[in-house]
Amino acid sequence: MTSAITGTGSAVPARALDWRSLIKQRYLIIAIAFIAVAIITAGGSSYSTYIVDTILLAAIGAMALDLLMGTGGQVSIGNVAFLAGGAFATVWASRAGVPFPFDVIIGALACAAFGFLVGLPALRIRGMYLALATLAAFYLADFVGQQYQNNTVGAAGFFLKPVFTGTISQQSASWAWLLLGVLAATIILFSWLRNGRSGRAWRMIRDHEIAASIMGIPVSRYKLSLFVITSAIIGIQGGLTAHFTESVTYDSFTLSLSISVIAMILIGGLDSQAGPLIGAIVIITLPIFVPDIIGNFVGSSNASQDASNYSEVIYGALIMIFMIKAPKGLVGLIQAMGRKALSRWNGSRTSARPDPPTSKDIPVPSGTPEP
Amino acid sequence: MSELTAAIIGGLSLGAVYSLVTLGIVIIFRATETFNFAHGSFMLLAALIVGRLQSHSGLPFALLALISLAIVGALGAMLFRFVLRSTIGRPHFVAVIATLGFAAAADGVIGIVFPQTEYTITIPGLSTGSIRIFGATFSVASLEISAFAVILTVALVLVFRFTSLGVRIRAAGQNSLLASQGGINVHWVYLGSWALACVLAGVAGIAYGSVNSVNQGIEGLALLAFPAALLGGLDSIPGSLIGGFGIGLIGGFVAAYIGGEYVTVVTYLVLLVVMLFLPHGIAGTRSVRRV
Repeated sequence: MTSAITGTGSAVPARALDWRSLIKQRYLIIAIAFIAVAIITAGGSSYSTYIVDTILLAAIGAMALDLLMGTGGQVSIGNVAFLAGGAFATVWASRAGVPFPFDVIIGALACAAFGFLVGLPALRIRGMYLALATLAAFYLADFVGQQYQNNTVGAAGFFLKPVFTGTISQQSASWAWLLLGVLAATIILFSWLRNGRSGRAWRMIRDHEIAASIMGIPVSRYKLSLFVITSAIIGIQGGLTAHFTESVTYDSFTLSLSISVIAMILIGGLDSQAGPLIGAIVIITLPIFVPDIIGNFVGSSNASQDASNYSEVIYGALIMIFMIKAPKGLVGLIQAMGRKALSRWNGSRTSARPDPPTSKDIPVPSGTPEP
Repeated sequence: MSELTAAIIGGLSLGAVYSLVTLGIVIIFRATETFNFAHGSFMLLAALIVGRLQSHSGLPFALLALISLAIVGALGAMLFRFVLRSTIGRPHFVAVIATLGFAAAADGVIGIVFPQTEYTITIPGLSTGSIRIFGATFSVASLEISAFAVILTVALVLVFRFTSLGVRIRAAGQNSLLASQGGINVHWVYLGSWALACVLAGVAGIAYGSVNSVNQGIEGLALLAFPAALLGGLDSIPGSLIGGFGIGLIGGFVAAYIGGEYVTVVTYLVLLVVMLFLPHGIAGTRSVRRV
């Protein structure tokens, strides 16, 4: 799959615009995100800045889940366990008197340890059975969080002091820049991991684990490191979410939150640089746009009341549609469109050039000669 | 003493409902090698349809139950026909994620169509009152419902074991190519298995909802059936009884001696232990590849 992509990429003439490699450019994504954040924090309302913050937060977690599921092929539906773990560990550190950025780091370290524990069964369990095992991790984290919360502060949950000072919109803007920085660091770290030796090893393990071990890839070490890295990043997301919302309760970490992150990476496109970010934008803005669209049909009061339900229906349907029709997500669709436009453009300049061979359609010598 | 009876009888009566749900999960796994994470949505949906229509219309319970079971059966068949059939030949987790998507969509629809958080189902002819067994009190209705669930599960297990229909379903699940060569319409068997499993989920949902209230908690019940399916053996149809009662008893003892809030987490720890050390379950085939 991946070899097919790179194969066609290198065969495209250098003078033609190569959209596929452009969209993979990590710095392009960061630059676009930077410009978007700059425009919205400067000109937008505090509400739109808040939406941007939420998108950036979700994108951090989606990047990590994409590395785990898309690149590594380790199916996890209990990823919200790490979100909860990060949030509660951050709260614990914060209550113990650790100042702001360091309590999030403690949360990330705790999550890395938790990810190591969850990764251990993954050495033996694969595919959909691993999905079930991660469900166990979710219930475990939920239970521990619930016990901790009930034994310290009770049902109302934990409250944290605001990190930034100033008006609401100033705080939102500060958050946007902080989260952009974390997201940019995550993108650079992940693209470095993904394009190097570890990325090749993870993809090999995803596509054929036995072959990977025969080729000398230390499967266990790579699997565990994948779980540790992605869990730590999701833990950072959890800790930042705790500080951003300034409150933490265990019942906000639901299984449907987990599924929404899966929706993000599927809609965006698995194992891609821009996919999780695109998916996060789609899923986070769904509840905002859905009432306006649905309102035309059922009346605006009903639509805004059921906004979360309607968007749940839509992203559930999108998961199914993308899973069947477009397994490479929006990034894959954009690439396909770009490729089509490119071949048409090239075709009009030169004579019709056949598509460069991919690994799938390498001509196989057959008995019947072609006419 | 009263704690012990509460643990055993309470566990067994819950285990009976688990068995019914687990049987559906095992049937789907046998037919199409998928976990249906939308199983809870089917349970909840059937119970909600009955609960809502019962309070709004004067229709008899039997008719309402038939309508709701027909709806969930048709939905299950449609989920297979239009979504999961396209995932055949792709990695198994693709289908699993697709059922998760269905569950999310179904949850949204349920939230829109059924605005109340709780509904009640009354089944006419069910006894009222309670009974004391060795110092612990049980409602007679819940024991009757459990007896019904056990009888239905055992009957279906026997059907699968001894009738030609059961043989067809088992054959199509084991080797679809050979089964189709043998004249079995594999596609219809798959479709029928999904419809049957979802109808069973609906029955379990209505049964559970009639003695407890109908709310989102029913979906959690379906998730607890996955540990039951693994404990009994994912591909073993009689194993669903073993797994269902096993998980029910574990839950009963944990609730009686440790505390109700520990039930879910202990059940899932059992799942992890089973996965790691007994991957084929108690009654499953050893060759089921999980490791």
